[in-house]
Amino acid sequence: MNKILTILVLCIAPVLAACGDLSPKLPAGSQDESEFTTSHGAMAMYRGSMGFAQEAFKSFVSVTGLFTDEFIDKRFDNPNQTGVQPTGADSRQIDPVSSQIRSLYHALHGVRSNATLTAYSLKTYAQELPSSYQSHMYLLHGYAVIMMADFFCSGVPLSKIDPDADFTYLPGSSRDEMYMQAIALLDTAVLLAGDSTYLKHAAHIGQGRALIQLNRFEDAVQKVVNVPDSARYRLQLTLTAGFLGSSVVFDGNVADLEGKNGLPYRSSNDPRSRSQLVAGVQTPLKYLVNAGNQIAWLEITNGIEARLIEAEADLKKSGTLWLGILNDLRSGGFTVSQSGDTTWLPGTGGFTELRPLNDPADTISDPVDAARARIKLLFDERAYWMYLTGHRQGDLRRMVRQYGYDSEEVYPTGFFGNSGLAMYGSDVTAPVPETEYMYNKLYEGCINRDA
Amino acid sequence: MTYVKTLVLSLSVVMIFTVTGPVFSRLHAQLPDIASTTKNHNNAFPQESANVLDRVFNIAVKDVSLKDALEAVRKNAKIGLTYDPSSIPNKKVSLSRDRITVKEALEFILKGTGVAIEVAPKGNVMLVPRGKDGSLQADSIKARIRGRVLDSATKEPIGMVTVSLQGMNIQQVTNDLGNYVLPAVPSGEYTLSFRLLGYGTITRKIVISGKADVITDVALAPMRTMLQGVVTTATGIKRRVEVGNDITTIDVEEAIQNAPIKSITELLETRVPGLVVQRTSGSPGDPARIRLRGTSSINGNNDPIVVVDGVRVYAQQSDTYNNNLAPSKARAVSNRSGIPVASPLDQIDPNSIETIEVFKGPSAAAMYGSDAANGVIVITTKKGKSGPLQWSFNSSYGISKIPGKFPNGIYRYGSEPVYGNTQLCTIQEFECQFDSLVIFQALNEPRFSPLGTGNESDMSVSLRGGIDNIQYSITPSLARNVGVLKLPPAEFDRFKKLNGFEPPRWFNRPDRYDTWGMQATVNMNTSKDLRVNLTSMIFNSMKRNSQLSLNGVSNLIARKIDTILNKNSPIFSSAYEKIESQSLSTTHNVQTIWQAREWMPITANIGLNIINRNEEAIRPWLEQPIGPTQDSVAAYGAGRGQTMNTTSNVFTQIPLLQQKISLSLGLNYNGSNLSRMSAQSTVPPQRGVEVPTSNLTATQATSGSTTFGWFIEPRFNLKSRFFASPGIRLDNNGLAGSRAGLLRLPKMNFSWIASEEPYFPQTDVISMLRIRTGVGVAGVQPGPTDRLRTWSPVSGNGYNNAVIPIYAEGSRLGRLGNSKLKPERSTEFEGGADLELWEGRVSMIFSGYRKKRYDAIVSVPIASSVSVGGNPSMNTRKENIGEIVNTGMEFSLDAQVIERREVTWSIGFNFSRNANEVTRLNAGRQSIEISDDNSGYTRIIPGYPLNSRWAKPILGYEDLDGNNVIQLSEIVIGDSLVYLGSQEPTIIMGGNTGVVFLNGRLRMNANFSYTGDMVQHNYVASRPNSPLNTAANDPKSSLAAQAASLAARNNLTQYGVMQTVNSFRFETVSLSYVVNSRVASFFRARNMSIAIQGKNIGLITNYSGKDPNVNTFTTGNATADDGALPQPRVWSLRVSLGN
Repeated sequence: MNKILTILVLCIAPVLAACGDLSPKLPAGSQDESEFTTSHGAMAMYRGSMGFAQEAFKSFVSVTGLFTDEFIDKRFDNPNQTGVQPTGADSRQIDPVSSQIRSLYHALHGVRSNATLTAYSLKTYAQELPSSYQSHMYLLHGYAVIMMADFFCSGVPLSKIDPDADFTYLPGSSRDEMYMQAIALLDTAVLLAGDSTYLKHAAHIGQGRALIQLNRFEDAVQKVVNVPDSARYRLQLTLTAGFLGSSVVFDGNVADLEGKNGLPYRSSNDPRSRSQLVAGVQTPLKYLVNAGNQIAWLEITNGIEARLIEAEADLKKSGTLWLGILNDLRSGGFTVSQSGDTTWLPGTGGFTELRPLNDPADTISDPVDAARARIKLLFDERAYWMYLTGHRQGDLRRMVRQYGYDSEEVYPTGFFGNSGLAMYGSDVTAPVPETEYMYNKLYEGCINRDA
Repeated sequence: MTYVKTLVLSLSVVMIFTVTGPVFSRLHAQLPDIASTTKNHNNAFPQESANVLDRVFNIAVKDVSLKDALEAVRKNAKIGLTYDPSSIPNKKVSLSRDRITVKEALEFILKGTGVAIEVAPKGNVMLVPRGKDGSLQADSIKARIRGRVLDSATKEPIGMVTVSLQGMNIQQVTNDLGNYVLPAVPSGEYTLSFRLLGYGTITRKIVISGKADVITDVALAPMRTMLQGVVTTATGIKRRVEVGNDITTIDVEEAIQNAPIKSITELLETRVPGLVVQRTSGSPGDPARIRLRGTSSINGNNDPIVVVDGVRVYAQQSDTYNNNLAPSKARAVSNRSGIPVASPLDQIDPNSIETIEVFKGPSAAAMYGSDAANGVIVITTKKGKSGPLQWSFNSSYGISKIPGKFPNGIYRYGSEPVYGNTQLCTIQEFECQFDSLVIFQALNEPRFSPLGTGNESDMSVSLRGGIDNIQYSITPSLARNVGVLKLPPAEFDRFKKLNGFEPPRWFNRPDRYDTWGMQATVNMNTSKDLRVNLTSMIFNSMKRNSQLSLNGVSNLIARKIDTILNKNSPIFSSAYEKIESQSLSTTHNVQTIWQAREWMPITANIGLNIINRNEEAIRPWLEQPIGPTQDSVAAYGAGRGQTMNTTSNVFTQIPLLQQKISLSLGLNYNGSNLSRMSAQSTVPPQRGVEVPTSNLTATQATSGSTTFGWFIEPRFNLKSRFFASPGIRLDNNGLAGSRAGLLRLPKMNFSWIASEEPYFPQTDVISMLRIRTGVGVAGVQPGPTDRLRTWSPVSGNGYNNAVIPIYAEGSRLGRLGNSKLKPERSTEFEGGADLELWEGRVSMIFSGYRKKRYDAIVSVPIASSVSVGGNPSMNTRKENIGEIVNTGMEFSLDAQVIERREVTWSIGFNFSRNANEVTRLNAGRQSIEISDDNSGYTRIIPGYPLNSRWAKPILGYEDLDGNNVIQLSEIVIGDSLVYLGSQEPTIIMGGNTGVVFLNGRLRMNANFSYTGDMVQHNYVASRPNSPLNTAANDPKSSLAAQAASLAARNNLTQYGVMQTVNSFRFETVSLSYVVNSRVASFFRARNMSIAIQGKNIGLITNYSGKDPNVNTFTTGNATADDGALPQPRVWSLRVSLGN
């Protein structure tokens, strides 16, 4: 009997003990998951999401700047550089295996993932913090979706990451579905913003930006009508070690009349796109920061965009206010400069170089041509005001899609670079990288690559 | 489900044998003569109890004592007769009669004595005195028989000895302390037998006449049989015969006696069927990887685990931790990730080891748990021995050299057409005006070669002794190994001329590996029920290398002659860097064996293994540097690392049902922590001067894992010839911050000594035949943080309202993690037979196995729509989706060919074949590309071996213009990759032979190894513009060689320069001689021997490069042709003394 009892005890006791948790914990300072299930951890994620978003958004501005007429690869801007074959976004020939596009695609989805998990952690573990912290994550999430909808083909999968260590793949969403999802995310941002007006304003402008892509101009105006001129949402940027005692954010060439259709960002001497030659590279003054001042800001949106939306909505309905709005912007004096930028002073009386605009219809008799000239004027104004803020690609697509322009009338076209041999491609959107097809079995490819 | 199938298969095998039993019986029935020789040869008494009293016999005694009359009955009637002589009255009796029954005879003899006649169940006749009331008195006179069983040779206690009382149904098995107790034996005269396979059976006559314990201690003499002895399993010490697996045991003391052996790797190589040693280099202290029955893991570990005296020790051979933690400028110029540090396994001094047991796969290693799928190497260190001090001393000295010459380079010089400059030009460069051919190889030129003569020496002392209750053993050792690398004389002179002094020794002779250490054991019997074993090991190693170790060979192997001969430029542009790794490994173990109950011994041990590593890499500032690139480069790197393993085991073995079942129960805890830190500075450290942070980089990493296991293993013993042993282990694994569910690791094995069956035909040829099968499941842990969702630091962020500080630290997702990740699991079916012929002079072991790794961990890419940020190619997580199958067979043969007093000759041979196949990756994954650089493709693809070699085929070539030179346009290359073969050898052979002459005074031993069917990349032939590449420089070379070389040089395909390599290597030859005792006495010793050994004395291979068995990487290429040092040839002399 003793023997049986002993055996039973020896059998059962260890099994019970084996069920206990013997997991060693990572030492303090390690990036252990459990460290993020606290208020402190949620804040660390919040800061991390912010930091990651600024890198991703900067990449978006940079790559879409190359894709459109804002930037040109500095190799192709160098008269002495010949024989370089065009590749990637700059020449509008994007391969689905392009590492440049894959990185951007990956980074924008990374903003979504990080924002999703951070919002969850803030809600769960940092309830003492204002809900505006969560709002901020929805804002980043919404903008990331807008950027993907602006640049990538219709049919980007918006897969979901779960708060536990799992995820759910999803099939592709159409372009319009993506904009609608962005609007919904920004709605949540508005709801959670509380007293944070700057978040509310940024969310409303983002909604306006998405709504005009959906051709819902009146709805867009409703969203931005209460956004003041002074609203601004921007992210602090990490500086790249620069040239000649300066630091630069975008170490790239400001384009000038790129591919026939490009705007004269350099030669127009427009203060909104002014640039400076730094060690042989034409660098945007807006994002060139003196070494002594290590702060640079990436403008995501501001009150100017709200006014531009109102102007476009007015023009769209053949109103009479649009030109006045544009001229008010030119003379109104908005503070859109960089701290330390002595060329572009904070405005209190507008930019002296920016003379009032005239209505093109005044000099064009053909009403169709006049209408197109007005649209062109409006989009040019948008291009300068929102130079290097990541809006140009969405605008050019809208010019094709909503206003009937041929893509070869608005995107850079013709001969590419200095070789005199290579031509621009015909892409108006970027393809979803091939790796998505390979690993996400629900994904069946772009719905279309049209504007 | 797979396990169930395997189980059914193994049961089927057993059933087949069970069914074939009667067949043997029928055979036996047809061979009455043989039957009569086998029947009852172990039984002294008839078995038919019912008829024993009716047996008829003749008796004729006259006027003898009752006892003598009873003995006459026993003898004449051939019955078993048990009685207490004291209970038989002293009177005379006479009886003479033919054909009387036993009953009649006994009744007549015992008439009036009051002694009753009883028959025991097995037919033994017992005479039992009656009390006054007429009742039987036997029950009231009972005593215990107890005692201890020792090995007559070693005086060590022997467990698992079957002790039985003949004629009685009483049987016991000795425990680990050799003790046994037979309780409540009635008075009488008995024969006690002691039986254990591997030892000669002995019997003792005993008499029980009262209640006092009868103590019978015996010593069993070992006999030669492959199944003798015991095996140290995870659940305790088992008799080898019971274990249904082929577990290779190496008698280290014997191996060392025959030849100077320097490392455990040397001990294992050629001696274990199915074991492959992959050498990373021939430099002293560079680690070797050990693979048992092939690799099985894609992204996980393929190293076997190592257990020393029950303590799990850190012995990883292939993880990144094996690289130097002090990365320095060395990495920038190296094609490798760092200087390898010594293998922890090889830090253990072979002189301190008694035996090594190798459990090759999950079927044998299941009870070792969730880390044992790659096999287990169990090391048992030396134990103390009772008796006067025994001492031995070994010292050896050897010299090493790289054997043979490196292939000559062919330098084809010509002039460039436009400017007429002299240049090297291949035969394809037609515009070059060829004018001269120079044949040169700097590695073969003493003035320029960094290959010199190395030396190695070692010394060890072994002291053993003790008294009955305390024994001790101490084995200190010391070894020094200077590698073959040296600064070439030309470079030495240059340095001296520039600096005015000779280069420091570490620079001149950079490769060095020094070790010292000690193993000590104390074994105590603190009481009759408690034995305590204390073991400690301390081993220290210092491994030193310089930049020369990394690029000394590779830099010269294909170097242009003009750059070597130019006196104004150094041969090595950046050789001035010292890298040292010092490692201190300590292992301590306390083991207690406690006889808690008569029937329950408990074994417990607590062990701790700590390895502390300190490393330093320094490139000092030199006023007059030898190379132009290092004039202003100074760097310093330091690394600290610690691994700590804690082990705790408690287990017991409980006998049940008269020893027919033995139940093992136990707990096992293993904890492992690894921490490491390294820092680098681009300025050299100076005392009291703080290094600016801008010059510093530092990294730190920690990880930890725990395993808590519980096992139960009943073992069934049927008639001591059929053994079955099912079992299950439950593991609770914790990895840094995460935990998987309870892991179930079942196993089952059978061992059947067919030759012990009564119906087995008895001949002089077959002395033992065992059939065995085993199936089991074991695992391999995932990486410490593979389950975790981790975050990466992000800094320097803010936004316009500056709610958070601008440069506040933050974290973003770093890795997705997989909370459902489980350890990899392997199931293995093993079956085989052991055969002994001519009383053990020839023994053969055959095993076949099928090992399936399922739930293999594969790094799976995640689509970017679930992005964590960072590098897209790093957007992965580990999943249990792979499946790899290894099938193979192993055969080993040991034979005593000549066995005479004046000469004996023994041979040993083993052969194994392993076929490896990836059977599944996952639904969406067709292949994993390991490398696609100019070394050719290494892929993991279902249907082919792990890390298989692939290349685009050369479909054809034709010398269209008839100039005997193949040009690129004349080669046709296929578009798709084709399979070339496995990187691992599929055929492995090892062998040894030993001859002993002059009554054991002169011994000669030789070992060889063979690896075959291994596809190796021949870097020599493919290196672009290499002068070694004869096909590129010699117009007389064959068109096929030209095509192969040209395609490889232009990175079109490596097809033509991949070789299926077979290599036969004479590993060692040794000669040892026991010198005259008078000479020994001069050193105050009784024994003295001298041994000479040659290591790596010959290589026969079809490989056209230097050494096909050296490869730095686990996958891909960094062969000896690519700069890794080939294995040196070593000749050494050893002197051994002892008492």
